[in-house]
Amino acid sequence: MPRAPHRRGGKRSISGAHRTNSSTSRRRLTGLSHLLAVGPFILRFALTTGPHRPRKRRTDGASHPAHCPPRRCRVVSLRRFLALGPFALRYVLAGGASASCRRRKASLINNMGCTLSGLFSEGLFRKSTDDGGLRVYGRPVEGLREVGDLSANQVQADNANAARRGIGDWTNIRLEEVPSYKPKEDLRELFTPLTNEEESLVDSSLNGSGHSKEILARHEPSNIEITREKLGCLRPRRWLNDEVINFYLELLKERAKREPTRFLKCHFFNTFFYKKLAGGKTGYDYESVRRWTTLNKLGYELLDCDKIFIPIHRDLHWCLAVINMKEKTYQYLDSFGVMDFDVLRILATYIMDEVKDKSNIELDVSSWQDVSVPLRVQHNGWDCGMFMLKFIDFHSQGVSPSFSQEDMEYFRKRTAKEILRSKAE
Amino acid sequence: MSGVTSGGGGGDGRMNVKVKGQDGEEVFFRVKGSTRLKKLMNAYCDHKSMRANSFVFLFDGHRINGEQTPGELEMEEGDTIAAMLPQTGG
Repeated sequence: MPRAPHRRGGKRSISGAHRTNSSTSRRRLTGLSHLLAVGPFILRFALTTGPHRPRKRRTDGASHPAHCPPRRCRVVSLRRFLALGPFALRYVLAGGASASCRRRKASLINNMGCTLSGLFSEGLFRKSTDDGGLRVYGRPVEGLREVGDLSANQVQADNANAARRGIGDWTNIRLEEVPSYKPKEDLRELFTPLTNEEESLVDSSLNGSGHSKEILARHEPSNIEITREKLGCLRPRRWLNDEVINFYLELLKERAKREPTRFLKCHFFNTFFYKKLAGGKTGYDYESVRRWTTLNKLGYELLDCDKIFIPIHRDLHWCLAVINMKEKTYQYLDSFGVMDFDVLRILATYIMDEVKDKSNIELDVSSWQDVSVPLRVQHNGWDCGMFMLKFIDFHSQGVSPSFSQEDMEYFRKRTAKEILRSKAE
Repeated sequence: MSGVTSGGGGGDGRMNVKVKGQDGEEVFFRVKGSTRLKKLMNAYCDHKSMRANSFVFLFDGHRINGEQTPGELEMEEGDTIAAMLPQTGG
């Protein structure tokens, strides 16, 4: 096989590097401070079981300049990681230990991103299909910044697999044409800088002293209270918790109600919905969520909505599924670029059951299409929740997500401000 | 109007409700329609040997406030409360 020599070569060269490391550097890299600094990475790495994907060369020369060699898929397989042994682990730990270090090891961290994708695709969540049920895409996505390091060439094969596997008739599966990138000038209100007053409010709430149980925001209809401790997850590098996510989703609901002409009619499920629907021991369980969406409670039916947003929690990672009721499409959005057809299949079943139960209409979703786009936009191990929220925010305005990793710091502050003010702009 | 309802659990306004955990295990409670649900929530946490507030309790997808009562939420005999663990991710 053509790739076998390469793999052996890679292993040999890195093993060689390992041997040349002195005992001093070994001590330095495994110090306690490094371990503390990269907790999330350790957790994720421990659970990582990256799939090995056969690689093949890109055939569509038109999208790849002739002078530029074809990029290879960066999925790092478990076998390769095992082959790399302790060196790889320490290399990653060192990469996560400090910002400067991380910058130097950016390429490896990106590989970790792919490997983390493997965690979700193969290790924990594979359910039924022999060929994985999930795919890691690496195709460069035009229209988004900071995705230039994407590689891979499996899109055609993956489409074929998806068509075989998908929800009803997936032979029409296609990748969404990503609209060309809109400059920020066109979306100014989505990137409005915080005023000095807002900055100081956010800063004092996130970093100021005060009792951790102090309630900083309260949303009466949903019974969600945000304490100083919970809001702290919006500080840089923190993982978002579902209190903050659900609070923000409530604000988005109110925003759409406030300005119905500006925003699409959407339904925002909370972060527990999908876990109730599909996370039980028995698998798919419509009955457990049947009463979540009664006309009496919502005042509308899901059939009337333009879009339905379903946050997906994957143990350590936030993703999003969107059902577009008007265009009759599904979309799965993972900031690491992973695809999960099982989720979409479950949601297709759900929406059929839901419409049948509430409206007594036999909805035929066999022709609905998956328009998922591989958005590998997250370049660290802590911003997936923020990406998910902004996917929802932008999509609920009918705007395609045109932000990148570098915007996350601003979005964290903006979200904190909107939660503290209990009003999403 | 008392706001207390009884869905057939007896004439004293009591009803049986169950709390279902993420593991599928169901724990049954017999409560008055006017009992504040924090009593039930704390009892469930005790039963699970967890600290109070370790779970998020949902009734029909809505988060329950401990100050609310089954009557206010229009619970009926045999209704299910979901006990969910907090989630976080990056």
